[in-house]
This record gives sequence, structure tokens and C-alpha cells, in this order.
Amino acid sequence: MQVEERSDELGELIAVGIVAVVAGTLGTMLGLGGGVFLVPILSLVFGVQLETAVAASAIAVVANSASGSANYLRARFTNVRLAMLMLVATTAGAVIGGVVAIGLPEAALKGLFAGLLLFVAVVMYRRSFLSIASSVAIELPDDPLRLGGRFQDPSVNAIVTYVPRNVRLGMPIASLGGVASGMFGIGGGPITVPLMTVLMQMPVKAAASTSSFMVGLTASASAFIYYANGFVNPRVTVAAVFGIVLGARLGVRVATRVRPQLLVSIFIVMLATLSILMATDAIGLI
Amino acid sequence: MRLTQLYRRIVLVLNAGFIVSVGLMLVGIIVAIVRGQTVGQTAEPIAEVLPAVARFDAQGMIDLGILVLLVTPIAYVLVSLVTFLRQRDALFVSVCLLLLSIIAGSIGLTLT
Repeated sequence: MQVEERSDELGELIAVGIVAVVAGTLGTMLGLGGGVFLVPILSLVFGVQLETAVAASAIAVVANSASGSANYLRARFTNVRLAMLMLVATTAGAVIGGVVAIGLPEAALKGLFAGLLLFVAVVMYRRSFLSIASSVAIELPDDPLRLGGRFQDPSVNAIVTYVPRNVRLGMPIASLGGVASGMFGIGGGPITVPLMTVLMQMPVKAAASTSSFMVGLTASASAFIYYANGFVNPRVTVAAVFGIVLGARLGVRVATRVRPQLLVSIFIVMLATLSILMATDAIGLI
Repeated sequence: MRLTQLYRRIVLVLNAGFIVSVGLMLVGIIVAIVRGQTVGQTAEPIAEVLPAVARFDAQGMIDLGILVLLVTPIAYVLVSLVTFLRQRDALFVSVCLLLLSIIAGSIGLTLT
């Protein structure tokens, strides 16, 4: 009997681990992080309670940020001063998001998650046809808070200097990314990266690296709330952590070898499908 | 330049936190398999994690691994706070303190 239970446990660990590897690979290739795929699959396929799936994903996001940020920090792509400032908004948002998610009925949370997946699919669709406004202005604005960054970009073999713009406007939007991270365990990258590239006019490398650094603390802030409320399942979480971290490394390698346009189209369809399934599931719970 | 030092220290903190955390989780899984221990579906309350580790309990180690992971980003805020204090950068000292108080609030919710 106990042997059977243990083999079930191990089977669950391996199955969730494999799904997390795939989710991490896909999420990294799209620059979204693995949670966008992992959370709905854990909920829809494995029947994991949504809050538990969100907690596992949030903790995997922390692991991914810790293991993946070092290279960007060494290359100085990451803007630590800007990150610290924006983290005030995202962590506060994440704490609020975590508290709200726990207070909501699961059906409502699933409905909102369906909406989020649809939103991400629409953003991906638009992004695939619009080039991101990442050009660095020739004339840099004043920088009283010393938020500007400077790094050697190996892809163009030049030193890139920039000063983030519209920081005041960016902070409340970043807090929305934090709320999304806290509620859905997705890290907030799908909101903060476009925010930094489009509104704040940062170079893509700096935006992606700074966001990847920020999501760790943002996700950690809400993960404590899930932990306290008994939503952290150690088995699911360990599998998610190992799977997402491994998947992210694979994703970086695979992304350079495939045609992005085709992939983006496939992923948009996948996200839209997951959104519909999640919405149907939410309606079924009402 | 102190900012370069800060970047180096943050890398050290992130690497150390990640390695310790993943190491604890791996040891936990191995102990569960070797000693035939069951890992529950809910993490232990924070106060009970260290006593569980002292008993060489598999779940205790996995839970501690998760908690080490969660405090790793907080450690880099502390490292940044020290750097900004040394630089007498009042604005960013306040930013770090504000961040720490938000996290403390979140952990406070955990402990109540």
C-alpha cells in the first residue's frame, strides 16, 4: 500500500517535471516565462487547485530568476537601480494580488486567468506584427535619479547608453504587473518587458534582463502569502522548480534555431486554446 | 566603482541561494526515496520546518529549500541597502527600506 503511494508520488513528480520542462522551454522562447503555460496545464490536466499551481509557478519563477539573472548582471544588461525602484511597485502589487487571489472563489480566479491568457495571446499577436520601439534616442534626457544604464551589446558590437523615460508613469503600470504576478504566478514579465521597451524606451536587452531580475523578488513577495495559507505543495513545487529552470535553459538554446514567426503563431493558438479551456472550466465550477 | 561591486555581490547572493536551495530539495528527494518517507501535499508551517530538518525529515528539507529560495531575492535587497548606505545615497536607501518593509508585511501575513 505504502509502496503504491510512493510510486504514485514519484510518478506525479516526474509527470509534473516533464510538463514544467516543456512549459519552461516554450515560455522562455516567447519571453513570457514558463508560468503562463504551467499554471493552466497543472490545473486543467493534473487537477491541481489553481492557487496551488500559482504558488508552484511563483516559486519556480524565483528559482528561474535566481539562476538566470547572473549572466545578465555580469554583462551589466540589468539595471539594478531602476529595478530596485520599480520593485517597490511590483512587490506591493504582488502582495495585493496574492491576498486577492486567496480571497477569491476558484471559479473567479480561473475566469480571470482565462482573461489573462487571452490578453497575453493578443499582446503576442500584436507584437509579432509591430516592431518594438527600442531605438535609443540620440539625445538622452536628464537623469537626476541616475537611472541610466550603459552596457556593451555584443550583437551590434557597440556600447549602448540609455536613460529610461516616463518612469513616473511606468510605476503604476508596473504595479499592475505585480498584481498579475501575485494573482497568477506568472512573474509579471509579460507586462514589465513591453512597459520598459515601449513606454520607457529602454533597449530590449536591458528591459528583458532587468525584468528577469525583478520577477524573482516580485514572485517571492506573493509566494510567502501562498505558503502561509497552505497552498504550497512541496511535490508539485519541486517538480515545477527543476522543470522550469531546465526548460528555460533549453528554451534559450532552441530559440536561436527555429523560425520565430511560425512559433509565435503556434503559441498564440495554444494560449487562446488554454484560455478557452480555462474559461469553460471556470463556468463548470459555478 | 562600488556599483560594480554591488553587481558582483548580487550575483554571489543569487548563486549561493539557488545552489543551497536546489541542494536541499535534491537531498530531500533522495532522503524520501532512500528512507521511504512520504512528502505531504502541504508545506509545513515555517516554525516547524527547522525541527523537521533536525529530524532528517525529507519534507523538512524540501520545505527549507523552498524557503531559502524565497529569501534569496530579499538577501540581494539587503546587499543593495548596505551599498547605498555606504554611498550615502539617501533616495535608494529609502527605496530599499521601503522594499524590505513591503516584504516584511508579506512575511508578517505569513506568520499571523
